[in-house]
Amino acid sequence: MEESAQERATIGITGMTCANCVSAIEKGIRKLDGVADVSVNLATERASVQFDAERLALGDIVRQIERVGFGVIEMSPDRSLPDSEKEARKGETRAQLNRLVVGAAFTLPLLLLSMMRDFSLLGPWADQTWVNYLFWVLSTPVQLYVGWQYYRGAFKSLGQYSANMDVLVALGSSVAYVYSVFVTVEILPGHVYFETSAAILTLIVTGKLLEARARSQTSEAVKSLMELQPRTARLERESVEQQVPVEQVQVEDIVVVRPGEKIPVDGVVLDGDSSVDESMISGESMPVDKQKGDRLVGGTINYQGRLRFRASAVGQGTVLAQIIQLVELAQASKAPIQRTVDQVAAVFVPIVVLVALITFLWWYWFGTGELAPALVRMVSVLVIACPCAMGLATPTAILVGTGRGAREGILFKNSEALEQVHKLSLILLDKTGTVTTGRPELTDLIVESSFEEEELLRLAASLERGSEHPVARAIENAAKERSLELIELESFESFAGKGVKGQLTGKDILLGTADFMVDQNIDLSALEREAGLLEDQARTVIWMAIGGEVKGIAAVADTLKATSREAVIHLKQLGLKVVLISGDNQAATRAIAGKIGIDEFFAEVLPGQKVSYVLQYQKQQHQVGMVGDGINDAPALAQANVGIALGTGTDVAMEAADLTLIRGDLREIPKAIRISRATMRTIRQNLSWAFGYNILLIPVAAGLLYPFESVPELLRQLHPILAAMAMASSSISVVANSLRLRGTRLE
Amino acid sequence: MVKVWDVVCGMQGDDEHWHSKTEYKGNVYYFCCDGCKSAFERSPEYHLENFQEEHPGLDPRSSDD
Repeated sequence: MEESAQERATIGITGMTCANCVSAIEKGIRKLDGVADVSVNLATERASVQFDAERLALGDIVRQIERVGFGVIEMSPDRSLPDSEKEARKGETRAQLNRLVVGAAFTLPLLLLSMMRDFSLLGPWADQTWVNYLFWVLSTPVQLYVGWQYYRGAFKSLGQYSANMDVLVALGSSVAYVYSVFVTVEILPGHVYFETSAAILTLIVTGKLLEARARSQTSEAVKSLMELQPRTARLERESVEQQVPVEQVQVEDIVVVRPGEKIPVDGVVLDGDSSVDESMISGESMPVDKQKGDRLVGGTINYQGRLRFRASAVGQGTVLAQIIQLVELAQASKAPIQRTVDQVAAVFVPIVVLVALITFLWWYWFGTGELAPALVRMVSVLVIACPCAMGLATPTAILVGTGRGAREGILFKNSEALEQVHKLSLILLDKTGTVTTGRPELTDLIVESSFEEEELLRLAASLERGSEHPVARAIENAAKERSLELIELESFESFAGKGVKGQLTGKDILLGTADFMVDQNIDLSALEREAGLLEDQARTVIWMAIGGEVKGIAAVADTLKATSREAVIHLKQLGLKVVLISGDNQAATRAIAGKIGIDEFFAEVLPGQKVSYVLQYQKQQHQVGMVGDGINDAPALAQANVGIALGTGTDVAMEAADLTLIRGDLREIPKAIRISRATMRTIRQNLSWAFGYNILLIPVAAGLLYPFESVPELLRQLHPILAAMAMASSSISVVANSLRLRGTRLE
Repeated sequence: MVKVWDVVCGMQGDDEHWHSKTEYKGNVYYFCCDGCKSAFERSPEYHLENFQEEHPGLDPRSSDD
């Protein structure tokens, strides 16, 4: 194994439509000499290849993919993309903050002076020409430094033959600025609008900063995932155990894990007998028995026994690393949604430009025939059309809506989440830990006629005392609930993953699986039928025998949360389709689906596969909300239109998701939908307030009232006072309207 | 109904349910999805060879019916 020559690359692939295409590509790449490992993901349309750089070049792999008949769009050695992206996001927040500081520092004095001058509070000195020059100086850094990003955004948008908010901002502010410069140097007549252009830019950059902040947090999910990876491993070399950093473990190395330790890398058991908590990967709470030949997953926790295993995947090749990669890719590939304000701008901008042109032509042909007055009117239309409060319409509503959610125990991570939730058409529910409690509870006790239920439970709990196994805890809790007093046993012996054996007044007491009983030569026939019925209901059955005879059975099962059924009913009432998805077996999944009234479910879904289901529904034009709590849910949470995590689940899931239900109560989902609906309604109202005052003033700016001598002078053409009043009243209306969200009813 | 093989992914199906098909050198080949079909059309020889390696002697085309 030459470690240095191993390289890993991620290759973007086009043309895959089904899971079978995946296998064709994997087979094709594997044929190449020097490929160590390959995995192709349909959901993310990427191949991850580990290869020997001395025997094979990245180009050879690309050619092979093309030979198999698929397209290659991009390739990058290793995972440099997310890191650079993280940096870019952090940089963006910093840049927006800088812009806001600069914008505010220059805009505030400018706005104050200018408004005081408009209302004649400054005395005659303020009307001198040099004051206009001062305003020019104050507004220039705002226009060029703060405004630069809108010019870039505007050109990009115009290049795609559409107009977004950037176009409106760039157009309105630069027209106001350029026109004011011409007025200052006395080429054009009229008033200067330096403060209008500066205020537009500064108000809008405030909103942008809030957004950038929210976005930079998404990569936290990846950081927590990486922390799950154990840092060291115990290697066996020449039959000596030594602890090494996990990076040094190589495929084929022999690794030893002691009870209670984390399994460092993926592998296959050579010897040992234990059970392993794989809940962080599979989402299932029951530990999985591991013996010779069984697969182990890095990051999972070994319970009782010592295990020796052969490493089968390390570093970027492990299941955990692949989940990390899936989360990163899903986050990076999520299509940005078109913001409401951009949708409005797309219609508004062309109309305003048209109105401005008509105004110009009208005044040029039918007015005095001079260029300057016609130009002034055209500029007035463009200046007044750009609503300053537009930048506040969305952020204030989002801010209040988010606060409202937090009070209900619903944390929206970003504004996109709040804008998306109301559009959801389908909810994918993870089973264990989401719909169910994720902790097994005692459901049944059946005893032979010669025996007492309480006695069975007391003995079982005494035997299981102190065990970490979830089944043991379920039995202990049940005994505690009935306030049974536990007893000291005379001897005690534990059989990993199978059962326990103790002694009381000289008699053997056995507790464990059916296999364990058979091993101990116990005849199960007395209760076999009852046990079968319980197993059909997806319950785990534990047998008890005393003195060589079966005395009773106890059954434990993951139980439904009391609120799940009601939540599903509410979601259906809101017109959503609800689908259950689980890594658990068919019977258990069907049982739960039936109980909460869900017809469509998928069982035995592997970790990493959930994201494919999300994608599949998205391809059917569904807006998918994924609800989950485990690490295995993280990629699906990131891929879904809205990922919903539970506050009772893992940190990783919460960070990959767009919103978190703090109490883990699914009934909060319909509430979140109602909050989102109310917020969107408020945003739309805000936009009409923001645009409304300005739209009303467009006819004034166009000089429609000019011919009427009886109309007050102020209204016959646009005056800075009008622009200032429009700005103030629309901003107040918008903020007041957003605050109303605090009282919205959610029932 | 005739059993056919998708030479790209190796899946077996029947000609009535698979709507993706293409003609190559006078033979009709059926596919499970459009992805496999377009992959085949871009490099038919590779996939025919590959299929023969994996399923020696098997005829992926619709045998006479």
